Amino acid sequence: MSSDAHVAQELERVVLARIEAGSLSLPVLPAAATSALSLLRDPDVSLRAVSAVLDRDPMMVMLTLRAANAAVLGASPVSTIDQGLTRLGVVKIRSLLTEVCARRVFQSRDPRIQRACEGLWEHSVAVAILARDLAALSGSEAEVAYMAGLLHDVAKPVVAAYLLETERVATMRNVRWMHADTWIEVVNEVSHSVSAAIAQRWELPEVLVQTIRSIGEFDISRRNSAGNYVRFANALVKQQGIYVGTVDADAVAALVMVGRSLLGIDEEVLQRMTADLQNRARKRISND
Amino acid sequence: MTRVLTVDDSRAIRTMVTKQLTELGFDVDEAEDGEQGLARLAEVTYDLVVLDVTMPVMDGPEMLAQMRGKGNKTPVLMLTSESKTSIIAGCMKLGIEDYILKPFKPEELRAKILKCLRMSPAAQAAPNGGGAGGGTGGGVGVAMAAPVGFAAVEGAGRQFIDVLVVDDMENVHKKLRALLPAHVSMNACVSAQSALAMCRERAYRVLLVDVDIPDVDSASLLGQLRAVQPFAACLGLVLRTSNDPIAMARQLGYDGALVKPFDPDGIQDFLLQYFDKQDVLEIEDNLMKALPYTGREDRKERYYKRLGGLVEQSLESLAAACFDEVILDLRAVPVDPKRLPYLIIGLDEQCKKIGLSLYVVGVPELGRIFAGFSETASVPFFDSLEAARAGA
Amino acid sequence: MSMDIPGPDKLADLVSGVTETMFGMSFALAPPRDTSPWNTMPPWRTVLLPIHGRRPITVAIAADEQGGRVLGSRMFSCDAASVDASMIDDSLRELANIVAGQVKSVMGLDQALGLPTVGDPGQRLEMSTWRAATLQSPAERIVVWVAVSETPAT
Repeated sequence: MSSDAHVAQELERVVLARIEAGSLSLPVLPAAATSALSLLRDPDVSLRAVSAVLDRDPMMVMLTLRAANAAVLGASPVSTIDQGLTRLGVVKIRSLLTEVCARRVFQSRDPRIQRACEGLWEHSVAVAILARDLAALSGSEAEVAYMAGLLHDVAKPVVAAYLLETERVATMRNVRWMHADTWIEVVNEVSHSVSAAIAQRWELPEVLVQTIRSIGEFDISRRNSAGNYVRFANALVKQQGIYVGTVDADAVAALVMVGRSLLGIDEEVLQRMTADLQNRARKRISND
Repeated sequence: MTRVLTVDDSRAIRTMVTKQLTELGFDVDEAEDGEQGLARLAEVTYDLVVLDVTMPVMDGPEMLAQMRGKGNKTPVLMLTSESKTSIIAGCMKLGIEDYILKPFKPEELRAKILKCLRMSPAAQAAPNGGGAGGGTGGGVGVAMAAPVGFAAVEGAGRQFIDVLVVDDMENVHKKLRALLPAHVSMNACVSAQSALAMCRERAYRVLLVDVDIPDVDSASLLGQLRAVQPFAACLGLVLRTSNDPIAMARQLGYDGALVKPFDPDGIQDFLLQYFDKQDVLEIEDNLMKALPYTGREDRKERYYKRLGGLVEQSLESLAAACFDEVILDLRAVPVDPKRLPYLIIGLDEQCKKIGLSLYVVGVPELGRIFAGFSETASVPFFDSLEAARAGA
Repeated sequence: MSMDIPGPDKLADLVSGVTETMFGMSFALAPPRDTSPWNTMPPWRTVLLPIHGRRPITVAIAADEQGGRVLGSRMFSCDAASVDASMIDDSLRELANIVAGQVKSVMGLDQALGLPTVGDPGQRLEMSTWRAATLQSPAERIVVWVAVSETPAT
C-alpha cells in the first residue's frame, strides 16, 4: 500500500468516526431542498406540499422552473412552481434537489479547494450523465445511478476542507504539513464509503446511500445494479481524462474490461456514449 | 481453417467452448492447464486462445506471461470467474483481446470469439474459407450469434417491421396505430431499453422516438438506435407547441419530426414520405395500378410527382423481366387536365427508350383529355383492364 | 469495504443466477428440513473452494447423486445417463468456482480465488462455522447445497 493510501485510510477512519459522532462539520445544504427531499421520502406525498416548501427559496423556484422548461422540448413554458413540479414528476424533482445539494458541496471559499472542486464536480457530472444513460438503456434504476454519480465523490471536498482545517491548526503549532500534491492524492484515495456516510447523514434516500456504498467493487451477482453502472461510468470517465489527480491507467483499463463483460456493453457502443462527454458535462454545469 | 485452443481446468467449460466453436466450423483443441496449453502452442499455430485464470499446475496469467515471453502473439480471450482488478490488469498488460466473466451465456462466448477473430459476416458463414461448398451441417452457414448488450445483430432472419414507436405514453401508440393504414406494420414500446431490444431483433423502416423519453438523453438513445438500425429513418416525436418541430428534431440529430398530438394531415405526409409505394402504386406482373388519392386538395401535386417517380423507377425492372408492354391503370387517379398529360408524355418517352410499349387505362374523361394533345393521343388508351390486356 | 457472509436467501440467488445464466436451470431456497445437510445427512459429493487472503473464506457446494447427475448433464449438454462420476465432480467444481467468484464480489473481497477440491464421499462439515442453504430446483426435483465459512478449507 502506498503511503498516500495509508494516510488516506487512517484519515478515512477518523472522518467516518466523526461523521457518525456528528462532530464533523458537513456543508450545510439548502434548507428548502433538504426539507423537500425529506417530504419526497413519503411515496404518497402531494406535490403541493413540496411546492410550498420550495416556494420559500427564490433560488429553488428559479431552478425548478428552469428544469421544468428544459424537460419537455417544445412544450409551452411553465411559470409557477406548481406547474413546474407537475411537469417534472417526483423522480426528476428528487434528482434536481440532490443535484442542488451536491453542487453546494463542491464549492469552497478556499482557492485551493475550489480549483480541485471544479474539476471534481465536472468529473461527478460526467459520471452521473454516463451512469444514467448506461443504466437507462439497460433498464436499471437510471435516476438512482445519476444521483449516485453526482454524489460518489462528495467526500472529497469534505475531507479536503477537514485537511485544510487540520493544516491551519498544524501551522499554528509549527507542525510540518504535507506537500500540496500529496494532499490531493490523499483526498483522491478517500473511498466511497465516506461519501455514503455523508449521504446518510444528510438523510438522503437509503437506496442512494446503499448504491454509493456499493460503488467500491463491482457486484457480479447483481449485474444490472445501479452501483455497477456508476462504478463502470467512473472508470470510463477517468479513462477519458475527466478527473483531478493521477489515475492508475492499468487498473482503470481492467475495470472497463470487466465492466464491459459484466454489463454486456460493446466497445463501439461505449465509444458513442462517451463521445463528447466532457462537453456535455460542461454544458450541464454551465446551465446550473 | 480457424484453430482455437481452450485452456481450462474444467472439462465442462472446455466442452462448452468446443461445442460452440465446432458449431461455427472451427477446429478446437483443449488443454487442462497452462503447462499443457504452452505445449500445444509449441506444436500448433492457433488463431485464438480461450484462457481461464485459476488452474492447477500453471495458471492462466503465468501461461500468458510465458507465451508472450517467447514472442507468441496469438490473441487471447480470458474466460474466468476472477474479477480481481489487479489480476485482470496484469493480464491486460501482457496483451489480451477481451475478457468474459463467468457465468456466461453461450451467445456471449460466440459473439466475443468472433469479434476477437475479427471475422467478416461472410467469413462467419463459411469459417473454413471454402465458401458455399465448404461443408454441411452445423459448421457452415451458422449466423452470428446475437452479441449481448447493445451490439448490432447483423445477419439473415430479422423480421421486417415498418414502424417502431418509442414513447413512454401508451396512448401515443394507440392513437398512431388507429391513424396508420392496416398494411403499415407497427411495434411500440415505452422505454429506451425495450426499444434497443426490439431494434436488435427486428429491422425497421422508420423509428419514431419521443424526444423527451424519460431517464435517458435523447441524443444518446438516438445514437444507440442508429447503431443497431443503420438503415431506418429516425423521426422525433415533438410537441405541436414547438415553433419549428422539424428544425428542433434535426438539431437533436433526427431525420425529421412527427408532431404530437397527431393529425390526419401530418400522418398523410408521413405516409407519403416513407410508405408511398404502398399507398400510391401497386404492381402485379406488367400491370401498374395507381391507388386512390385520399389526401387534401393542396397536396395533390406531391402525389402526382410521387406516382410519376415510382412508375418511372419500376419500368426498368419490367423491361429486365422481359415484358414488352406495361399497362398503367389510372382509373382511381383524380383527373387533372394538366398534370396527367405531362406525366404520360414523360413515361411514354422513358418506355420507348427501354423498349416497352405503354398502354393506359383510365376513365373516359381522361381519354378525352389525352386525345386533345398530340403527344398523348398516340399512347394507346383503354377504358377497361380487359380491353387493355386484349390490345396488348 | 468487506461485508458479512451472505444469508441463505442470497446464497440461493447466487447459485440460481449462475445456473440460470449458463443453462437455464433455476433453484430456490428449500423449505426448512428436519435433517440439515452435511451433519446429519451427508451429501454424496462436496466440493470446497478456498479464497485466500486477508479474510480467508471457504465456499462449499454439494449434491446428492441425482442432483450431481442432472447438473452434469446440463453442464456437458448430454443425457443424465451418460454422465459419469468424473463429470459430476467436474461440474460441481466449476459451479463452486463461479459461485465463489460471486460470493467474493458480494462480500467486497479483493482476494484471488483458490482451486476447488472434491471432498471425501459423504464428507461432513462442522455446521456451526458455516452459513448454509439447501436449494431445490422445482423443475428437476433435485437438491444441492451451498455453504460459506470464514474458516480456511481443510
